Parts: sequence; structure tokens; C-alpha cells
Amino acid sequence: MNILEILKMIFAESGFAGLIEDPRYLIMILFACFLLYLGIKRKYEPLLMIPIAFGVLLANLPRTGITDGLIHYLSLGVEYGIYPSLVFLGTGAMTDFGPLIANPSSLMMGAGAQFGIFTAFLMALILGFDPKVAAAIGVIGGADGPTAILTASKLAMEYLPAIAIAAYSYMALIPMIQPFWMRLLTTEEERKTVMKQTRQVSKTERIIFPIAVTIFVVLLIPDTAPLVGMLMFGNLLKETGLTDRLSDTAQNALTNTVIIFLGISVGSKAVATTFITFRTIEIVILGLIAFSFSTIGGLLLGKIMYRVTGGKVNPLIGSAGVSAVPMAARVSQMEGQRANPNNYLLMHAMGPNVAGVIGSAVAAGFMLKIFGG
Amino acid sequence: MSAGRALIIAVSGFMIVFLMLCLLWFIMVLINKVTTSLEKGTKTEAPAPEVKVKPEPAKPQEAVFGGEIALYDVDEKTAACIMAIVSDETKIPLSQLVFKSIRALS
Repeated sequence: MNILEILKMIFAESGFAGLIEDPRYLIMILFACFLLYLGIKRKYEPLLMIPIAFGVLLANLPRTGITDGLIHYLSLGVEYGIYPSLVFLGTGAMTDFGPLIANPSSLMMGAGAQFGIFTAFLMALILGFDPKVAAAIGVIGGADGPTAILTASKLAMEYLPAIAIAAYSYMALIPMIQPFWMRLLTTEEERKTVMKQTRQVSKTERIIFPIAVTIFVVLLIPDTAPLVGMLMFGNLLKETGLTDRLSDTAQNALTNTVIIFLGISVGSKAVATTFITFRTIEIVILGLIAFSFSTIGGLLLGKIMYRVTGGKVNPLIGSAGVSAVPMAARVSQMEGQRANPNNYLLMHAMGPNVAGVIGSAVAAGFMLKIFGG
Repeated sequence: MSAGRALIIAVSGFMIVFLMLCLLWFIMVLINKVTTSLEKGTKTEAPAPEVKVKPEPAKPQEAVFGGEIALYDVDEKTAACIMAIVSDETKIPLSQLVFKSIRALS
């Protein structure tokens, strides 16, 4: 055996030879680099986009065997729906439900903004997707990454990476997607509406809220327990004021750890052999449709509220009913101020925004109930 | 799956979301009513004990610094309200606050 033969053997067993064997891996490596660019340079949801992108990169370096070892075990958290629920625990600990408790009518806009879920579900069926997969695709419209991942992991594991990447990409693109619909569907006069300051919410109400929501929502749709239960548990830790250490862990250390595992696991599912298909493109397009229809649904409910209350509700806060917290609320604030510089809609928009989190969890629970997660 | 069944699932799913959030709305209103009445009850049941306070010798009043304030499209009454609100929100006595100008934003 001479040096040349040794070099040939090393090359034949290297990942480079694997790339030549199946060039789709090279496409996926480039795709991973593109996602890293979006996360790092464009700051598109970097906390999740970067781990997902790196997971895609690791899984598509041929002949590493990493997906059978480390990543296989990390992925169990996704397969059993553990990570999304833990992310919801952290989300609950970070969320202030005060604006929603002060103005419960916001719940209607949170409900209206789930319109995209069911529209995209129907469209996916028309495109020939299996009903379970269609349900998982529809949940992208909820604009809630963990909910979309949980539903996909139970109903459409093979499409999980496409669904997760679409969900997080569109959440990052909310400031570009929503203003178009907001300006199209509302009048200048409606956008200028200044809303009154909401009432103070007592500590007792804040403590009772998560307990009551858990009891009623989970009793009616038990499949929502992993999401709604964890969301409300996290919120209770925050609101009692007696479990600050637990609340702090849920908000920071736990959420950050889980996000790393979740991102890497989801990204690693995007292997060239299953990801590069026409179906992936269809899912990405359906995701955009779902997002748009959810925005439209929220805005229409906002317009109804504007009429019903005699012009006291600015319909722009309706679009915040998609549950991307707090990005969607910020977009409402920005559009409101564009129409009227004295308009401060952020706190009002937080009501529909957090209502959307509950709404999308209920919609996902419904899909899991019907399609047997 | 037939088109009819798909449509029924979509419509009923959307309705379930609405009904669930309507139910939550009702529950939240109920919680508000109960907590408000409880708080009122505790206030009326347990009146604050009377505390006899010995009259303290009157302190010399803190110096209140005056000064000029430029008002742009704001009348004096509104300006006074704004200053009082700022003082209340920041918990800083008016005597320790200096306002240079108040301008109405169109």
C-alpha cells in the first residue's frame, strides 16, 4: 500500500466522496448556509433559526453517522412532543396576560386570527396532501413555532423540518407580510383610532387566570394539555411572586437549553433525501397563505369590534391575533403610529397577541383530536 | 377525504376556537366581578383602625421653586394636568421637578 492508495482510501471514505455520490447533500449544505445567513445577517428569528440551520448542516454532511447517535437521542424530545411544551412553559413565564385580562374582548381577535389555520388546511387538501399532513401544515397559520412543531411531530413527522422552517421564517417576516393587509383592509380613519388606557388588573385576577384557563380549556379539549397546561403553569410561576427562582429558570436557563435541543433536532430532520421535494415548496407557499389569511381574519374581527364599539377599538390590533409574540403587536403599534403619531397601540395589541397563543393551541388541539395525534 | 367532510372539519374547528375563547371571555368577566366584590367586601368588613395622631409642630414648608415654562400649543390648564400626572407617575414631588417646555404633537 503506497501513499497514493492511502490518500485514495481516505477520500473514498470521506464526506466529499459522499457529496459526489449524491449532490443533493451539497444543495442542503448550501441551504443550511442560506438559513445561517438569514439568522445571523438578517436577524430572522436568530434564536431558533441558527440552531435549526446548524442542525440542517450537521445532518447533511455525509457519512458522519451523527443522526444515528447524538441527534437521534436529542430528537426524541421532538418526537414525544417534550420540547415544544417546555418552550411553552418558558413562554408562559415570560408573558404578561394583563392586557388580555383587562380587555377580554381581545379574545375575539385572537380567535379570528386562527382563520388561516383552517384555510390552509383546506388548501393543502386540495393540493392532495394527506389530511393529517394538511392539518399540520394549517397550524403554520397560528404563527406559533412550538405549536406548529408539536402538531407536525404528531401528525406529519416527515414534513416536520419544512413546517418548522416555514413557520419560523414567516414569523420573522411578519413586519413585511402584515402591513400590506393592514393597509388594504382598513381605512385611514380606522387606523387613526386612539384607544383608551386599559384598567389596572389585580394580582388576584392574574393568579386565578392561569388556573381557570387550564381547568376549562383542558377539560373541553384534553389534547391541548401539553401546550395550554405548560403555558399557564409558566404564567402561574411568574404571577404568584413566590416562585421567582422557578420562574427565572423557566424564562431563561430552561428555555434556552430546550431551544438549542429543539433547533438542532428539527434542523437535523431536513435530510436531502426527504427534504428536496416539490412538497416542501408547496408547504412553504401554503405557510404564506396561512399567515396571510390569519392576518386577514384578525383584521376583519378588529373591524367588527370597531363597528360594535362605536369606533373605540382600532382594527389594527386585530392582526396581532396571530400569536407571534410580541412581533405582531409591534407591527400593530408601528402601523398605528404611521397613521397617527399620537397612537400607542402596543399594550392594546398585546391582548389579541396573547389570546392568539391560546387560540392557536386550541386549534392545534382540535386538529390533534380529529386526526388522532 | 371528501370535500364536504373537510369543510365541516374546518368550519367546526374554527367555531370551537371561537366558542372556547368566548367561554374564556365569560370566565374572565366572572373572575373580575368576583375579585372586585371580594375586595370591596374586605374593605367594608374591616375598616381601618382609627389612629390617633398627635399633632406635630408645623414644619417649615419646603421651598417650591418656580420658573418659566415654554408652552407650545398647550393651554395652562392642560400643562398643569400634565405636570401633575408626571409627578404622580414618577412619584417625584412637583417641587423637585423642572419642566422646561411642553409641546403638543399634532
